[in-house]
Amino acid sequence: MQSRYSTHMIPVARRLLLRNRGGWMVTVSGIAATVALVLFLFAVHDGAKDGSTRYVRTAAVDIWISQKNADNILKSSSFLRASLAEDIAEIDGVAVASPLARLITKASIGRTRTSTIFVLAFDPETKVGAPGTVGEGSSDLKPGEIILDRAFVEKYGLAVGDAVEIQGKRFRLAGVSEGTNALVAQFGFARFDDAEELLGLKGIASFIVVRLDNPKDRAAVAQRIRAAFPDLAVHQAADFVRFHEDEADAGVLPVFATAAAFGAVVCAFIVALMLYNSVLERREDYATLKALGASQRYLLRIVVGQALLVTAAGCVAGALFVAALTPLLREAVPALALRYSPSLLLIVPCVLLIGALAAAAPVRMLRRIYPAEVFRA
Amino acid sequence: MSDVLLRAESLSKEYDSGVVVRAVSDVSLTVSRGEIVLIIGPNGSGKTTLLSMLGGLMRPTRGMIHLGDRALHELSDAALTDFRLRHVGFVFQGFRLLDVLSVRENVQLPIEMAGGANARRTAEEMLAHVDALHLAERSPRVLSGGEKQRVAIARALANQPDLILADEPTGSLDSAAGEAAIQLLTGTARAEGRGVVIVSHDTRIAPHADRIIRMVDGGIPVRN
Repeated sequence: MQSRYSTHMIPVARRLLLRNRGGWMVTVSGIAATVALVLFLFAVHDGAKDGSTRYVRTAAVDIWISQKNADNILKSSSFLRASLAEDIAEIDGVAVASPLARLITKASIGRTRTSTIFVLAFDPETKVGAPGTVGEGSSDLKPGEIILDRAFVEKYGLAVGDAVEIQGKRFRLAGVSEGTNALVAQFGFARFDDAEELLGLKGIASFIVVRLDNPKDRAAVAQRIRAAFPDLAVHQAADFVRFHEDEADAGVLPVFATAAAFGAVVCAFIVALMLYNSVLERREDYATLKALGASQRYLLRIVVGQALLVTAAGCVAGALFVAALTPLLREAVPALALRYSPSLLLIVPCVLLIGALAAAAPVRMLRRIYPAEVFRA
Repeated sequence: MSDVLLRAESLSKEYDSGVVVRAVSDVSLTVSRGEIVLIIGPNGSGKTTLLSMLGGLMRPTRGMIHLGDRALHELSDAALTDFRLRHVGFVFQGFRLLDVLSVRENVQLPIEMAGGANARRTAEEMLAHVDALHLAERSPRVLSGGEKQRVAIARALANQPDLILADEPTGSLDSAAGEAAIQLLTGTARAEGRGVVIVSHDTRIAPHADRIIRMVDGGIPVRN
């Protein structure tokens, strides 16, 4: 049996594959386009997820308190008495407790442009709930000032000192926050008293945000708050972040995963078609190899090797395409938060596996080539 | 020539595609080591089918084939393929060199597939033997017919096979090149004690053969 192979084997798979350069190029391009699409979709997802969750990750809040059944700031409604903050501040272990209001509203930029915005309004005295990263300007807000997300600012060509209008109230842009772009809308940050004016309701908050004397005591203090206020939902920071991640995944991940699955099917068809045609075109060569004594395993290695070569080249080309396109996209569409996480590298083994599986059809055809065909003139 | 290498007994091959067609009918044949057997006959007489069965490329419908001490008709497909690789060399009318490989690689490939050590050096020795070493790194596409056939012979000899089967080895060559190819093939086989079965229409090969078998309608008439 064929068991030993030289370490410098003749690259039959590559030679047979590259014989049809046109087919090879088209296939690699097709796989590259698929890989680029999948990379792009998941980069959008990861970017939106990061933008949706970075605020709650970096806001320096130890415990989030809301109405029952509200476990995130994105897709839930919660109305609390703002003065609860004073009661909660009395609980042992609590350093600061402040109200935080959330509004989903429209901001007007200039006379004609409007955009949906998530406004989070924090207590300017304690600053608990202020954005974790302010890249430009300041988070010390004076009345009538607002901090806006970087993508929002770039999208509308705003600069610190410019004005935006929300519900007829004019706000001066005082700062630019980073990582607060949730794709469908961007975050803005205002003073709690300004938000009360926008709401038209005094003394109503969405959340009470708590900072502890010792953040390690989160579990114990959360338990004490629950005991004191059994009608409230009390979330430790880590849990609250996880709820946001789950919410972000539940929103778009199934859609993107479905698109990626379609991409995988397209990729498999492209590879299978190319390999099938390759075997068909080189049928005489495969018959010759069989006649000379090439085992089925050797021929399988050729076809699967070709599948891996073409998919690997497609992955590289797709990644290069995305790398070249990303800066242009970021320039053209600032609201598009693209984030390439290391987990995207998983696409490579997935595509290689798809390629190897796609070799099944050509391998079946290979089995139907008889070595005696070699005698046909 | 009593050292029998190949023994085929009562070989038949039938194709059934609604109507049964008998391509080879009850053929028995022996080939000794170092013996050159030429099979001639008109088109459709079953020569190539017989050659396919002798080389393990096709299974007989009935009959037995022994090459050395192995019963080819009893081997599994995988074992038969491996047996072919190590014990049978083929020379084809259309040369069947892989044009995506160099001349050297064409000869090296069967050695490599058989797991032979120093495949490259062995391939170069084979090419030197057929006076084609200077062509080693060229593509088969740029070779003349005679050169291609010399390379094909080197490839057939690459794994030191016991038996060489040649299908119309001069069919694509001019007279001089054909004569040279046959001299090379038969001379080497005789010198190294390999059995050779040649199927051809070319009667100029006859003087090189130790035995000539005429096939008619899938069989070998008794007067052979």
